[in-house]
Amino acid sequence: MPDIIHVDMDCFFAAVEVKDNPDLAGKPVIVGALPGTRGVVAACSYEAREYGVHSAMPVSRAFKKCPHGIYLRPHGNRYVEESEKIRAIFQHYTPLVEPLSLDEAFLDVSGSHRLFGTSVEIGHAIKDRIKTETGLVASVGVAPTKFVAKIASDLEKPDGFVVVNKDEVLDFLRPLDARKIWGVGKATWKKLERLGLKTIGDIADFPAEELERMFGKHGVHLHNLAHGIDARSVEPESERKQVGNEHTFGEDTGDMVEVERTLLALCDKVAGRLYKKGCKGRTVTLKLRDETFRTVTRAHTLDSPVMTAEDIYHIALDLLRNEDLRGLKVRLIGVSVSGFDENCQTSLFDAGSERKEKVEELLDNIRGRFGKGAITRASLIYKRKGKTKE
Amino acid sequence: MKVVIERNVLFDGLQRVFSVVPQKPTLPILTNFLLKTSEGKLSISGTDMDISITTTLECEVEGEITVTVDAKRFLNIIRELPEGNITIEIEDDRVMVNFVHGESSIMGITSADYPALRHSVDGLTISVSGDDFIEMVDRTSFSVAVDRTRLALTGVYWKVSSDDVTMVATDGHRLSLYRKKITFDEGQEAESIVPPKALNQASKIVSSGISLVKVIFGEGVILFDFGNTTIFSKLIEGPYPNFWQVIPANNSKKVYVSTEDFAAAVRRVSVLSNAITHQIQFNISSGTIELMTKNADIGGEAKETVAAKYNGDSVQVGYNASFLGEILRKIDTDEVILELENPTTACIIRPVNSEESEEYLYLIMPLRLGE
Repeated sequence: MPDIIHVDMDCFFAAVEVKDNPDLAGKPVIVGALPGTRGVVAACSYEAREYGVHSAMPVSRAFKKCPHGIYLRPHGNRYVEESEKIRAIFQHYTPLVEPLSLDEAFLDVSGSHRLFGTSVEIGHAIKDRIKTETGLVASVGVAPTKFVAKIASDLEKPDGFVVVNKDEVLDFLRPLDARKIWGVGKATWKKLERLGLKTIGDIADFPAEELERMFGKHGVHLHNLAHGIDARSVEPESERKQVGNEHTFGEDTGDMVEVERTLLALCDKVAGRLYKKGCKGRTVTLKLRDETFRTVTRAHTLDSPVMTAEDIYHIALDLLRNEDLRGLKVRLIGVSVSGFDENCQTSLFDAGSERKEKVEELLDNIRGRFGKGAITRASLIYKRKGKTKE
Repeated sequence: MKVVIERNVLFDGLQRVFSVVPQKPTLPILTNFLLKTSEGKLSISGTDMDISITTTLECEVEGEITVTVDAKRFLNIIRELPEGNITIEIEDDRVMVNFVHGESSIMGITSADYPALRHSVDGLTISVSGDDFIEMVDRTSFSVAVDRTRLALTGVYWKVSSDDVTMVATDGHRLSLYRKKITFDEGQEAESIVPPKALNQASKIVSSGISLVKVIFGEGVILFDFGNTTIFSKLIEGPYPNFWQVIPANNSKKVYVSTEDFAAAVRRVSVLSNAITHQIQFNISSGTIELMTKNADIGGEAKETVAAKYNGDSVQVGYNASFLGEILRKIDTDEVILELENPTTACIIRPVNSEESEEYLYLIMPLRLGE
């Protein structure tokens, strides 16, 4: 029984723009940077795709291909609003929802059959409700594994609905281009091509040991995927235990000093919350969204857990400085700490980092007594713009 | 240049120095021994740049020379030789070893490329008995931090004052402290943070039968002088945290328990504890300590009760079994006392009825028990 559903919105940003401005319907809508700037295309309508425009393409190239397109700056808050409506629909059918971005998610519906019917029925219900409640079109893949479900949703886009039953998985995969495999990027594809492996079937027939020799662990993974084996489960956001804060800038900013200062403020908040929980985490994750709404997360895992603002900032800053922003402005920055020990080992010197943690305790105390704005870092005394959420 | 030396004497000396020779140093020549001859003496040195050992062997020597030679190969050549005298000749950086049945030779490297080693240190000089030294190191150094985020904690704090010596090691979760009354010259005081590697090397040499250790606390460097062998080590920069502050003075719950019984119970129960946290829960109540652990990962559970002398309020507290086990192994009295206050503050573990002139204790911080 296929139990995983992958829902992928069709040209999400462009579709929301068309919904808000029906005059745009049927026209090549290109959302992202404006022509004449250095940015890239975030999303475009199918009409624009016919001209060869696609997302992540530099807008200058898009403009050459489609000079009469309608170029729009992204309206991020609107996308988030619509995305939240869609997620609420998912939640109605199962708590096991793993969002990949604003416009796509995996759902595990194996526990929902008694209430809502078969996976196929649930898939149709979700697709229909998205259409009636938001006016937007989703493509849906229903399959036994995440990997196959994701391929399935993509296969008949737009407005697709593809079901792959367990006994059909291998036949379904065999003729597909090897590039359809999640995790096969340019480098892997080139190597595969040199081996004459063009389809997923070619990979499936290739000796597993050879793949392992060529690609290491990744080779084993490729072999498994080509045979329809994918043990990855749907991981709902709420189950990932983490403490994080993020901030959306009032105006997208290219001022890295401001970005770094905001990051420090966020680390401060996260450290305060960690202190309250009495927990330390090993993994620090940085989240960045640029002006084209491309969102990336970068994580670093440490040997020993951290909890102080200084430590978290130190690592997050490294991640930030190593990230190539391609000259784009930053729209949102977030930081989170995860990977908690189930039982926290307490420490002799005020829980590990002596003074720094004592500072955390003091800050917490003062804020508790005199309010959140009562005390802050000197470097953070500036007018705050934008909104921050936990 | 020619040296005649007994195989066993040379081999022991080489082995002593080899223990600090690095395997893959950034400076390749450090994989070599530095050999130096002078009147009636052959000295062998090795260093990893943080610590250096020199041992001087008495032997027949003709001529003075300095050369470096691949430590591992040279050691292996000597290892395989039968007992008896061997002759070493060094000519143009070539080292030739002759023994009764044959000879081996190996190309050395000029000592000009070898880093200059220290010969002396200025600072407070003390002498401690070999037994005291071994005991101090053994009781404390295991608690140092492995994690290098706080460098000071990777070393052993060693303080000498006019009437006692104190050694402390901690990784922030447990702490060992050893103090012994030893009278030194009035007004003398020194403190330093010593890498455990230096202490353990020194301890190893002492246990081969050295009765008195001379130690000089220098600026950024410490010297251990055993007569024919010396160890120089860089010190770790401080400050060392104020450990006196974290030793609780008023822990009211005092639990007496047989060291052996308690240690055995901890070992048995810990087999099934979580592989990362090693958590054991201790339910301490009048007359007993109940140890229990649950491990959902492997579906394991263990429970055991140990008799204890205690009559106070019940308390439930979690500790890392491997920390606790290590501590209990270091206590050699029949009975041990646990002094605790509540499930989130430090517990003091100390021997009952130990020698008057010495004091040692351990601190262990609890693990927060899940709801």
